[in-house]
Amino acid sequence: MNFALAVVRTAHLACLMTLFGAESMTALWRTGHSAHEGLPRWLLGLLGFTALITALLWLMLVVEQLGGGIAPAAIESVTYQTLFGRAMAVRLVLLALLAAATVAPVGPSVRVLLSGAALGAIAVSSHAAAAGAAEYFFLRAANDGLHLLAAGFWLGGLAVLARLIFAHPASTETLVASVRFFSRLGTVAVALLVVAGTFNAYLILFEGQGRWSATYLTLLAAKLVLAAIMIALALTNRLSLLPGLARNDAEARDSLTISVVAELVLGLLIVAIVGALGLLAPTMG
Amino acid sequence: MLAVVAALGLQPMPAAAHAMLEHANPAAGATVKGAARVTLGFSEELEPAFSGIEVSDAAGHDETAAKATAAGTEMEVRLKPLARGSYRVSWHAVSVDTHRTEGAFRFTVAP
Repeated sequence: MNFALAVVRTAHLACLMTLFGAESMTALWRTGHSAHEGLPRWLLGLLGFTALITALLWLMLVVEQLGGGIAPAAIESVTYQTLFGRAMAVRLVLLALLAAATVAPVGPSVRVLLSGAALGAIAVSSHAAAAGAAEYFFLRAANDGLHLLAAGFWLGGLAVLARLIFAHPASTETLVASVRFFSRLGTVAVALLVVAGTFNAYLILFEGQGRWSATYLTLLAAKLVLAAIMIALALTNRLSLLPGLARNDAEARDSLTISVVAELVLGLLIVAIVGALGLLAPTMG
Repeated sequence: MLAVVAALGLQPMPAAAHAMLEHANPAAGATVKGAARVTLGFSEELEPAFSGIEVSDAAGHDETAAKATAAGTEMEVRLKPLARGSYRVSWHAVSVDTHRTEGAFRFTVAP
């Protein structure tokens, strides 16, 4: 496995998913509530510009992997003559606009659209999209894109909650409303994540030929276990901690703090696994 | 998080096999009366610009009549008229998820 490419993919996914999720939560909150303290502008800018830079690195590393060297002719060849390259060219434009939108006076909806499009487009050159008959390619890519967007919403939403808890301590009333809001939308996101992810796993493992790779299965299992723990924590937040928080229970607030941080860490670990999974062969010849 | 990725990078990994060869004509190890082309079928769609087939005789001479062409999951190359003997087919394939696989096999022409 190309270690550098795995690191770059991980950093890219983490930044883009967090930005998309955080701004989605902020934009959706504003449709029915007063202004919400989402992630600070400087952090959005850091995420946006890092996503752009890591996308460029991703392209360069793939060019090197395919051609043995990074030269203008090789870059042009990969960019225009491969599906990955063409998708990446479109993504780079979206990411450049997104980076600009993190510093420009535009609302979160603009950043949601740009980051969502850039994130969803990753699915075009994924394992899931490539597995199966050509006539259903876009259906598979759409499903994988949905999986990425749902996961991004979850991760970014957690980042906003973490900010509310730590960096910008919110009143109990605001925190309860925010957790309740995120919990409701998060339920939908998790449901989409699980359904789309199950379909992805079926495509990747059962549409291919050859025996399954033990390494791939191990990582996939680890991803599923971590996701299950995240779901368990989310359920605990909703069913147990949220009512306690609403009663101004200090212990519930402390437990919520630990739970949100734990979910965020687990989410980032999953992103790291995904960063590597995309480079491994699900089946072996 | 980076420690996880580092740990993964240091583990021995199986050879990548994203676009796996599913069928070949002539088949691997086959004895045929003649062959005008070699056709290979893969498990995933290929990137034509980065995929190719070489065919050589026992002395290593190139026996292809043109550059290999790929469309969808199939790739083929036209051959020069082949004399009796053993031929080696070497292929490399890049799938749409950018992963490269390669392989080789032999077939024999016995008119």
